[in-house]
Amino acid sequence: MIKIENLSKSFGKNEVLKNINICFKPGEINGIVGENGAGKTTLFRCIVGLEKHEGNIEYLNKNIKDVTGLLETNPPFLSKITGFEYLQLLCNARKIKIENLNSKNIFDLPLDRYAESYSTGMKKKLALTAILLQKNQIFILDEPFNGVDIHSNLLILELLIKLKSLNKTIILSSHIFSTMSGSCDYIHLLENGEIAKSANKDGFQEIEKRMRKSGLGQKINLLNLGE
Amino acid sequence: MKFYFRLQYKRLLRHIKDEGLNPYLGIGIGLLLFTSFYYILFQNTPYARYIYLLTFYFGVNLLGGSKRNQFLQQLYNKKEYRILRLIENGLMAIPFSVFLILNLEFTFLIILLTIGTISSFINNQNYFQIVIPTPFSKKPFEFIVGFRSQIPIILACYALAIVSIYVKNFNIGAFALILLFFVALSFYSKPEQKFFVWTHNLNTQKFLISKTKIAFLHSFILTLPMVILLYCFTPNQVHVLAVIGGLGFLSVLISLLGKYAFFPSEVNITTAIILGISILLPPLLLITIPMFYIKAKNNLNPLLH
Repeated sequence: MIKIENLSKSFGKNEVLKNINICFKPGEINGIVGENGAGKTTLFRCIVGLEKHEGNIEYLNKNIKDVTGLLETNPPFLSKITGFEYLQLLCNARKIKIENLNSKNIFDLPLDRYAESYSTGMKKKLALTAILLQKNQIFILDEPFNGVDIHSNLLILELLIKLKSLNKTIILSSHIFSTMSGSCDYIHLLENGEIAKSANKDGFQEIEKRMRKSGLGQKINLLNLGE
Repeated sequence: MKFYFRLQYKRLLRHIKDEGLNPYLGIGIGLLLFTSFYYILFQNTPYARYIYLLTFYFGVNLLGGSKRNQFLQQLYNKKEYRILRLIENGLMAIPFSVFLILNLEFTFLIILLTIGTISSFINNQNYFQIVIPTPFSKKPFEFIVGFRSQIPIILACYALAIVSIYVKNFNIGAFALILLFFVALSFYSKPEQKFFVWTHNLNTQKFLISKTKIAFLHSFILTLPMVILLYCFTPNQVHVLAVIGGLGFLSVLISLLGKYAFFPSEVNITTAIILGISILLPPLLLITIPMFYIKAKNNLNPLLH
């Protein structure tokens, strides 16, 4: 279980995360929703240790980063590295030996081509394949469905169910609420750096309503599209 | 186009300011350092002219990056783009040319200007999709990226070594080997994204040791054919080859440690100078290697634990 207590993060005077308290259990899929800039990505980066922060993050007295697969919104890629070499690099980093990488290419990616020449969706699928091959215990997926084709989206949804059945801890974010409500056990609404609302499946509608209420209609009216 | 160059000048001043220096003082220091580089180089090694030309080539090669040139081609029409690239390389050639003219080195001046002109016409984007096979695929990534980016220079080094055998001049071969080690250490000049360090399940010490092992293994693979070639034809110079090899490995190591000492930022100017001097005056490596190791270890600790 990942236990987060009083997590706060500021960039200069800008306080991005304020006193976050939350638990993520194995075998559960937790979704984080919120507007752009609400602090979702910063929260993920704090959990895995890529950002310094205040507060405490506990995980079975182990170093959380050693067992976590992080899929960033725009996964970083090195120039002049093929898909094969990218997978090899990430497997080597966790001392994982894969005999036949081709057989693990579930998204049918052109692994012999430079990864930097891939489309946005292909890059995301390559990065996801890599963290799956790393045999992680925790999966933090920032916008995993973004830019990915429908078939692959369905495959990712199936993967989430499989990982859940394997008792993995899964935290994800998405801007597509229907995808979140279909796959998550819990959804947490992040507003202005705070967990404004957490809900299980029964309360998802309430979260969606709250998001709609937060001025969506008024914002559209500001454009005066009818005039 | 004038605006483009004014903007580049402003960017230069901003870079210097970011280093904590007054921009104009920074330019003055830069010119002083370049002058010192020239005199130190030409007084200390018989290969000075070649290193000088190679330094210029590295400089203009940086301006020939595919992404940068694609952006410029979007901004300007074909004619303007060609002129712009010629001017850029011409500006880069000015300081190099001044010293060659002052020393009446007109042959090398012509070679330098030819390199500058030809480089302005090389469009890297045509080669963007070609995957060059490397012997380093099992342990990505520095040598894979470096090998593919610097393949023309690596081939030139090997060509030079072969020439040295034909003309029976070991010094040219020794120079080619030194050059090859310089190419290898340049593979560690740019830091990768934080993610690629963070994802290792190693503590800092083990991470640096693992990186060092890979750097040594890959340097060995890169230089071994040349060492064997030179040894076969000049076995009496084995001690020179051993010294170059030893110092070459240490230079690659200091470059690696320098990268992680300041990670994820790029190495700053002062450190780059210290690294450069350490490589040119190898006894200093005995001080700088432990110094940079400790700094790299402390620097990576928050990321790797």
